[in-house]
Amino acid sequence: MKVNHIIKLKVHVLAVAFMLSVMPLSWADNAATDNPEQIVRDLQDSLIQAMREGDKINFQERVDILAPVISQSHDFDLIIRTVLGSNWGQLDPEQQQLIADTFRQLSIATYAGQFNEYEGEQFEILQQRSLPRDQTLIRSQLIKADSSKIDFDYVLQQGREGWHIVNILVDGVSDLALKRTEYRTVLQRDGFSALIEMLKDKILLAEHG
Amino acid sequence: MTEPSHSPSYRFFARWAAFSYRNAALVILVALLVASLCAVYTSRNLGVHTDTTEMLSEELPFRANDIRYMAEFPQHNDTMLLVVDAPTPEQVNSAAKQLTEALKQDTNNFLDAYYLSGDPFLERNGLLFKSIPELGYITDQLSAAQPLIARIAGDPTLYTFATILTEAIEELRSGRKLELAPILNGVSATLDARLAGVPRALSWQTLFSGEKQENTYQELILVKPNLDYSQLFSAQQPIAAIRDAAQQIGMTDNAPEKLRITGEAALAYDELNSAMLGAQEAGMLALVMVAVVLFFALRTAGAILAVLLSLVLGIILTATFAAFAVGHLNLISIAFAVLYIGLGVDYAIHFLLRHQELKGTNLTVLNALHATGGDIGRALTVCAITTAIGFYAFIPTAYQGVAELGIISGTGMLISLIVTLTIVPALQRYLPIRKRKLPTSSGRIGRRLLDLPIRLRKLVYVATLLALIVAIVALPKAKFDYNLLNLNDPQAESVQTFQELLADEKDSAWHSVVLADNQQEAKQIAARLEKLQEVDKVISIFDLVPAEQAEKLDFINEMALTLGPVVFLDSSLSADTHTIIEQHAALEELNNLLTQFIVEQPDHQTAASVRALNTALTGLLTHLKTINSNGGNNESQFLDAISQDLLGLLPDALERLQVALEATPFTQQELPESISSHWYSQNGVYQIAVYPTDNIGDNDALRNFVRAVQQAAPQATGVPVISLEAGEAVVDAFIHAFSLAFVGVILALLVLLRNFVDTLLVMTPLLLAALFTGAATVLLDIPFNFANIIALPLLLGIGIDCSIHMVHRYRNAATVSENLLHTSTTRAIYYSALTTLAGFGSLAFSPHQGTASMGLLLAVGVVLTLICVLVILPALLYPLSQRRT
Repeated sequence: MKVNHIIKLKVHVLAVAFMLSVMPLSWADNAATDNPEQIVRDLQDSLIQAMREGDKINFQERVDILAPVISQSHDFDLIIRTVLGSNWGQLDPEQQQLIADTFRQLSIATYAGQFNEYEGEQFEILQQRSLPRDQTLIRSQLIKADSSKIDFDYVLQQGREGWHIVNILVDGVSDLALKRTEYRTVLQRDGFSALIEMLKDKILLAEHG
Repeated sequence: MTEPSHSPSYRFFARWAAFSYRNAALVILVALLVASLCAVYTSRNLGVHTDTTEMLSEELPFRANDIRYMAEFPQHNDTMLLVVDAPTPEQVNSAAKQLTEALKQDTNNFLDAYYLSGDPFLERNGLLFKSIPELGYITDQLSAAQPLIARIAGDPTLYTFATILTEAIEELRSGRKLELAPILNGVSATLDARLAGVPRALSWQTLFSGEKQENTYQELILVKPNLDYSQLFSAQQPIAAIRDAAQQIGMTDNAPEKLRITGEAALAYDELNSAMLGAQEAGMLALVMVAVVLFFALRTAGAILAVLLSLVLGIILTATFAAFAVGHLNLISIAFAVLYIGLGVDYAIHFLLRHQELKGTNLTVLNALHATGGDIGRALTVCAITTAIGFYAFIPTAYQGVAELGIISGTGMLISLIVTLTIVPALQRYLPIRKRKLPTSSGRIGRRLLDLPIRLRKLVYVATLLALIVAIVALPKAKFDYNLLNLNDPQAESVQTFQELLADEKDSAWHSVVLADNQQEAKQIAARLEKLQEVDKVISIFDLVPAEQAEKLDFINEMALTLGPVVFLDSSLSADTHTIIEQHAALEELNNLLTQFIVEQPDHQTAASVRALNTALTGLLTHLKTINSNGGNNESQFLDAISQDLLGLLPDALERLQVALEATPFTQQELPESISSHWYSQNGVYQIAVYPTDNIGDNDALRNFVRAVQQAAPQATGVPVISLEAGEAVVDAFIHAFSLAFVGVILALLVLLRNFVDTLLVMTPLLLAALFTGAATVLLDIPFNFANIIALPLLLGIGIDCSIHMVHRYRNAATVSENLLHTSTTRAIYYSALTTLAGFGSLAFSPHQGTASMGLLLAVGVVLTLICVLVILPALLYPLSQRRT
C-alpha cells in the first residue's frame, strides 16, 4: 500500500512538474503575441544578441538568427502594401508575392547589416502609448557607449494574430514615409522589374556594405 | 379789351385771395400755430422703414416662395457676409475661427455666426471629401516631407531648419532622390518677401498638401445680426461690433489678415447711408439753387421769403399727412422732400408773377390780388388735381414703396395749392412784390429770342417730326437694370466686395435656392438642374456626405500610418537657444553648399529651386552684414523675424493635419446640426443651392439663369430670382400706373376744361416729352432701374402743369395778338421748371447711384418738357390763334 501511495505521489509530482514546465512555454508564446512591449523587447534582445556575436558569425548566420524573430514581429504584408499605396492594387498576385518576399528579405538583410558590431549599446524602453485605430506606440532609445541616444519608436497594430510592428520611426523619421517616397517613384517611373532590381541591389549592399 | 364775364370759379378764387389779404395777420398767425402743432406731431409719429423687401406686395408669387424659404431657413435672412483675406490658409482659417468665436459670444449684437468651412466636423473629416487620387497624392507629399517635419518639429528653430536643409542638399548631392523643390521654393519666396519689405509667412499646410502657395486665401463667415428694424440705421451697431472684435483679435490695419464686410444687411446699411446722405446734400443744394432761381424770377427779397415760407409750411403739412396716413417713410418716399422743394414753389411762382404783371397795369394791390386769384386759381387747381392724379395712379400698384410715395406726394400737391392760395396773398400785406423793371437792352434781345419759335415755326415742325422718328426707333431699346447692386454707392466697401464675390468663378455670392419636400424630389430636382448649361453647380445635403468613404478611409489610414504619430511632437515655438553667430554660421554653410551644388550639377532636376534659394539666401546674408555694420540689436531681431516667417505657422499646420487624420465615416444623419440645419430644416424640407455659370451681375446673364432654373424648378427663389421677378413686377406696376395716370388725367382734363381741343392741346406736348425722354434713356445710356422708373409718371404730372398753364393762358388771352411767349405765364413756366430742375438736378450728385440716376432722368425729362411746352406748343398754337381772329 505504501508503495502505491508513493508511486501515485511521484506520478502526481511528475505530472505537475511536467505541466509547470510546459505551461510557461505556452504562456510565453501567448504573452509574446499579446503584449506589444514584449514583442519589441524580444526583437531588441535578438538584435543585441546578433551584435554581440559580432565577428564570430558571418552575414548569413546573422540573418538566420534574426529572421524568425523579425518575421514574427513585423507585419510585412501590411508594410509593403502601405508603402506602395494605390500601386499595390495594380500588381497581379504573382508580382505582389514577389515583392512581398523580396521586401521581407531586404528588411531582414538591413537589420543584419546594421546590427553587426557590439560596442556597449543598450536598448531602453521608455513608454507605451495607445493610438487610434487599434494601434499602439512603444517608445524606446538605443543608448550608445558614449551616452548618445537614438530614438526608436515602434508602431504596432493589433490584428487577428496578435500585435505586429507596422512602422518604425528612427529619430522621428518614419521608415514607411522614406520607403514610400523611394519605391513609388521608382515603380511609377521605371516599372516593377526596376523596383525588384533595386531591392535586390540593396540586399547585396547590406551584405557587403 | 373785352372782359370775360366771371365764372363762379373765378369769383370763388378771387374772393379767397382777397379774404387772405384783408385778414393777413390772422391768417399768418393761424398758419404759424398749425405749423408748430403739426411739426410736433410729425416728429413724434413719423418713422422710417428700412426693410426693402417689404416694398413689394406680398401677393406676388415670387414673394410667396421667398417667404416660405425664409420661414424654413431663417438663418439666411438679413445676414452679413464677412470676407477674410490672408496670405496663407493657416492665417485665414485661424482669423476666421477666432472672429466667429468672438461674434458668437456677443449675443447682444448677433443671433449667430457661421464659419461653415471651419466647422470642426468638416475639419476632421475634410479628407473624405477629397478624391482617391488626391488622397494618394497628398500621402506622397507628406511622405516626402515627413523626415523634415519630424526633425524640425522636435526643435523648431532657424538653426535646426538650416541644418536640416543642408543635410537634405547633401543627400541630394550624393544622388539620393528627394523631392525638395516645393520646400526650397517656399523658403526662397518667404525670404524674398521679407527682404522686399512685404513679409509673408511660409504656409506649411500648402507644403503638406503639395499645392502651390497662392498670393491670397479667402474665407467667408455668415453672420446673422440682431437688427432692430425700428431704428433707422439698424445695422450700425453690429457693424461696429464686428470691427471691434476684429481689432481685438489682431486684425489691425497692419496685420496680414484683412476683413471686409458685405452681405444683405451691410449692403442695405450702406445703401441707406448713401441715400440719406445724398438726400440731405441734395436737399441743401436744392434749397440754395431754388433760392437763386427765385431771385432771378422775383427780384424781391420779400417775395422770395414769401415763397420759401409757403414752401416750408407745405413740407410740414405734407409730412404731417404722411405721419397720419401712412405712418412711415420708406427709402423711396424719403425722396418726396426733395421733390417737394422742386414742385412746391411752382404754384407760388405762378401766383406771384401773375400778380406782378397785374400790378404793372396799375391796379391796387387788393384788386390785383383779386384778379390774380380768379385768373390763376382755376389753372392752379386743374394743375394740382391732375398732378395729384398722376401721383395717385401709383396707389393701386404692387410696388408698395412707390404707392406710399404716391399718396404722400399727391396729397402734397393739394396741400401746396391750398397753402399758396392762402399764405401768399396774406404775406403780400407785409412782403409785397415790386413791379417788374425791364432793363431795356436785354429786354429787346429777350423779346427777339422769345419770338423765334413762332417765326421759325416751320423749322420747329420739321425738327419735331425728325425727333419723333428717332424717338420711335430708339424707344424699343429701353432697358431695365435688375441688378440691385448698381443702385448703391459704387465706392462703398460692401458693394465693391460683393462685386468681387460675384465675379469669382468658384463661388458666386448670389445663388438661387430651391426647396424640396422629400429626398426623392430633392434628388430629382438637383439632377434636372445640373444638366442646365446656365448652372455651374448644384449643392444639397447629399453633397455633404462623400461617396466611397470606406475606400477613402483605407487611404487615410495608410496616410496616418505612413506619417507616424504626430502626437508626441512638442511643436511649440520655443526661444532659439542658438547664438546669432551659430545661426549665421548655419545659414552660411547652407548657402555654400547650395553654391557648390549648382556648380556641380547645374542640370539637376531641382537645380532651379536650388538657384532660387541660393539667390535669396545670399540676399539675406548681405542684408545681415549691412545691419551688423550699423550695430545694435537689429540682426537678432531680423533673424527672429525670419524665423517667425518660416516656422510660425508650423504648429498650426501640424495640428490641422493631426485633426484631419482622425476622419471617421459618417452618414447624413450623423452630420452635426451646425451644418445640416443649413440644408435640411426642422420640418424636413431640403434646400438645394444653384450656382450660375456666368457673372449674373450682368442683366442678360441674370435673366437667362433665372428663366432656365425656373423651368426646371418653378418654385425657385433666392436673390437672382427675386431681383428679376421684382424688376418685372415693378415694370408692370409702372406700366399700369402710367396707363392709369394717362386715362385719369385725360378724364380730369375733359371734366375740368370741358373742351376736347383744349385737352388735346394739353396732352400733345406731354406725350412728345414722354416719348423723347424714353428715347433719351437709350441715347444717354441711363437704363431704368428700381429707383428712377418713377420718372415718367412723375414727369407726366409735372409736364401737365406747364401745359395747362400755357393752354389756359392761350384761351384767356387778354389781347388776341398777345404773344404767349411774352407773358408772365411763360416766365412763370420757365422759372417754375427751373426750380423743379434745381430740385431734381441736385439729386444727380448723390453718391447713391439709384437716387442719382433718378435725378438725372428727371432733369432730362424736365428740360425736354420745357422745350415741348415753350417751343413746340406755341408753334402749334400760333396757326390756331391766327384762325381764331
